[in-house]
Amino acid sequence: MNGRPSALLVPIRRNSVTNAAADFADRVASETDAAYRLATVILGNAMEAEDVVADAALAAWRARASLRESDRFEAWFSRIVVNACRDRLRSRRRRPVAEMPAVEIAATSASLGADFRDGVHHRDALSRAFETLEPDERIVLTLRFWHDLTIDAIAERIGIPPGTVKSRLHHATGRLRTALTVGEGER
Amino acid sequence: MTDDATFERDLRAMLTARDPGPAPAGLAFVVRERIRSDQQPRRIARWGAWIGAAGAVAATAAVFIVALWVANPVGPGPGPGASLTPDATPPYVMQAGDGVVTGEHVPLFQGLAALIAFAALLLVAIRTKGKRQGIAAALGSLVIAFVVVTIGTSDALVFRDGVYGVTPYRTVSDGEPGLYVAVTGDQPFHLVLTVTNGSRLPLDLLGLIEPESLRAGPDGVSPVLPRFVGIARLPDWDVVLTSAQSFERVTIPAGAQVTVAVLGMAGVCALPAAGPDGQGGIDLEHVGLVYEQLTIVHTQDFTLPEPVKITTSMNGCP
Repeated sequence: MNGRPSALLVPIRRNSVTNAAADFADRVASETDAAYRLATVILGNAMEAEDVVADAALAAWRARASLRESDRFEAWFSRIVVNACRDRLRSRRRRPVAEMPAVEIAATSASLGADFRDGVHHRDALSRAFETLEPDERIVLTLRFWHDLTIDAIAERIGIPPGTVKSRLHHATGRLRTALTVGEGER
Repeated sequence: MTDDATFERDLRAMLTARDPGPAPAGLAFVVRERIRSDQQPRRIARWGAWIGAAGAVAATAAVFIVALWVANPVGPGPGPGASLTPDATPPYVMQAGDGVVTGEHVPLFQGLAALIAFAALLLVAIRTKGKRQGIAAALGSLVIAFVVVTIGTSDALVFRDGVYGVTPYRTVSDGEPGLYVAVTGDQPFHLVLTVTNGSRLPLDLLGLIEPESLRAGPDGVSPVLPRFVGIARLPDWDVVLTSAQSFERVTIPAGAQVTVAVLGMAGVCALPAAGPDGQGGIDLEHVGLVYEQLTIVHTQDFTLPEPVKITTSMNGCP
């Protein structure tokens, strides 16, 4: 070692930056599936979800200094993904998208029972009502009923008090119920 | 109306139906590429942001200083009464108006330029995405705000030691401290004074503030009151008026001194001594001086170490 002094230090130091990026990219890539699924459920659009995950990965890389505990990487990155989804939903409100037509089940189809048709109609109405919710309401509903997080975990994940999470859940479910009631009345 | 359990079940089913399953195979690759490609531009962008912020601050400061230099209402020369030659032909006799700096000294343009610089730096502080650049710009704007607030108001000139006297003088005092002038009517007298730059920066002494009597012209203000009307340079610590030279702009380093002779007019009511019916008096406690520091022109009522006392009659002026 004494015969090979500081000459080795330069390439080692230079490579350490590249290695750090590679390690970080590997870590983000390991969360890609979970992030993509979460973003798609929140946004309801797979292509947008891909964009959001890629954007969130870049944002995470740039904000890597804010990661205090490396064993909480998943929660930290998930929070960034949720924030990116919120931004996307807000910008989407500024750029209205074309509305998809409602699902129509042929009433004459002999192979489908009335319960099935009602179930599909009901889920479609619920999905449409979900699309009308505020971004924050969508996020808490997804984290609670799809991700199965507790109230406290949701609060920690998106950085708001548990009481606010409860309040948002209450309002969101209330709005969904109202939308469903109105939808059933129209049919 | 759906009951709670059914509603929650339907909600979960709806959300599960939105779940697309595993991410497309290429997404992980895209994520890696996005991070990898960000490294080099990020470093360049960081340096670029620093250089940009520093450049903006430097450019703003340069514009500020150039604007002050261009708009300086006094300019680099002496006042209109001062000679441009280093030494006047001896014997030099000081006249009213010598070394007087004319014009208004309210630093409106300087204040405006400083406000523009302040606004520009504040804009940089608000708009920049870099925290450190923002802090640097905010500090710069605070410094300029301080300059704006204190512009033209500092009192850098003080009397610490040196010479201080008046001629012609009266030896008999009236019991109050001061320099008693012994002239009759609106006659000239001279004040000799050593001025020290008490600030931490060098300054240029430009001359005497233009007195009201000179500004009003010969048909203007009646010379009833005593006033200072001219200034000349003296060799350091010299009190001999025949050594006086015409006043020119003089640079005084921090802590350094210059000795000046100030020409005063005693006013038409002045008496050389108290009359039998008692006396009144007028005290001159300040000399108005003009100096320039950091391209900003300041006017200062220089406080004399002791008042110059002009004795006047109690029964009105002659």
